[in-house]
Amino acid sequence: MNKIKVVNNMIIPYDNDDISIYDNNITFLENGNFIIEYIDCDNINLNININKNRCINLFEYSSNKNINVKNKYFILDSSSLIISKFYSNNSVTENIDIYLNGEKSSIKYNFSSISSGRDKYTINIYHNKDNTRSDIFNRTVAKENSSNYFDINSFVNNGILDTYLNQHTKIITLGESDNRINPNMYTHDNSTTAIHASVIGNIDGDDLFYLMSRGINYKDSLNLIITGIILGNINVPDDYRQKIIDILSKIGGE
Amino acid sequence: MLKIENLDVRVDNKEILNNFNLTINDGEVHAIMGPNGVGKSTLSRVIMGDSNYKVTKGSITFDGDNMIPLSVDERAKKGIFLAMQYPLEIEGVSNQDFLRTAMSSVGNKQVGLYDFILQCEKGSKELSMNQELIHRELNVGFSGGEKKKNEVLQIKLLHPKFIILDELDSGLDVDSLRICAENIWKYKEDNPNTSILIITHHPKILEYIKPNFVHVVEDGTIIKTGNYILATIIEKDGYNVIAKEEENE
Repeated sequence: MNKIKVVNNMIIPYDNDDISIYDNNITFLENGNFIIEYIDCDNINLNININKNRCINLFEYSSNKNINVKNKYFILDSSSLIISKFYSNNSVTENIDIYLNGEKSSIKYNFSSISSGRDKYTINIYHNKDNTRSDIFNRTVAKENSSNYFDINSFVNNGILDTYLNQHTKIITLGESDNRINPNMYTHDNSTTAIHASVIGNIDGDDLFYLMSRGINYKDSLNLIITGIILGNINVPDDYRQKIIDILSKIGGE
Repeated sequence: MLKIENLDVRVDNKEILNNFNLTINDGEVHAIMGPNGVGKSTLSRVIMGDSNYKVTKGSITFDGDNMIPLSVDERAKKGIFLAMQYPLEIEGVSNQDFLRTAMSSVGNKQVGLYDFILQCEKGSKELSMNQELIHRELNVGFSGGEKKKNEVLQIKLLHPKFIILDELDSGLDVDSLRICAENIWKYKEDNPNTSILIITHHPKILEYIKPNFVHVVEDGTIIKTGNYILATIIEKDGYNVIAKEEENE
């Protein structure tokens, strides 16, 4: 799997025929699986480009920083970008724009996070061509005293036909926290299919009872459920799976 | 041995079990029957330690140990297993991770992957269960029969000493019921000291798992105890006949 490191807000030069990197632009030239890891970053501003007729699986990872992210994703004709993203940062302000600029282009965006501070996410999806599709799945486990605001905005202008807009956001709270989800779908065309679901709630007591009735203690049961919520939403490369499990394993014991 | 003495249980300030008494010796099979809402499933939850059910009086002991102060997982580690009427679907939690964690917890030692796979393959084969289900999310998208088979697989893997079957027959077709019940009976034959408490509306399951005692519950207490014949009378004449008999006596 090809790995791109962004260190101190700069992309580390990377020699690979599948990727073109210039300033803050990354262009994926060939199909494949890629990783972007943000290391010691506090202000990330990338333009990510997907050429025509490509299928790109992208895993993004960030842990332990206060970060401000303003990434833009541009997807051309008949291309699909599948993002799995995991964050465990002290606080996050993220404004990302996803441009579906080619016919039959699609984005599948799976985001999982552990929140311990103030996290604010704005995700804008622009359906600029016919037959475009967006599936946005956010899963956040909100630790005590954290706050999580999600504003998810999908846009379809009049005359853009047969678009598919799908948003699912779920925040699981562990103790008192401040959470808000605003799913907005601004469509001006009758041919749009729009689906959304938003959930904010505690861990289900019945789920805990079921796991504990099999001899699994409270901490491990909680950990199984949280791990399921986080990892069940994203495709994680082997190198990162254990890192994330280690982060999650600390939660039940807190 | 499970012993329940003078048990009162409340939920949301409503009394569900009232001066309930029941003793199940090692190796015995008991069936609890009764119409909806008389406290049958409550009994299973209380034995397992569901905190939504408040024990206001009485005691539950298992092998001489007081169960009331114990948490749900501690009761499970003592050997109590509740096969649920509606096994829960838990999104994201893989059946494999769940089963292996449960085996390690109950056995108090890490179960090796090879042993785990062997036991799962054997158990699922005996249950005519699609082995792919082991790798799926816990009960998510399983049919009613697959969920119940997954419960029985857990019995095979966790080796409980006391099994509560809360309406195992609900949501099961006749073939799946037969397979599940036969597997439980086989487990019982292999582990003769295992006790079973069957909670059911229908006597069909009792054809496969033969009870030593059948109890009829009404208004949160046992009103009549008999043997398998009592279950056949209930099937023929209904619960009202039993209740009226008790009133006349």
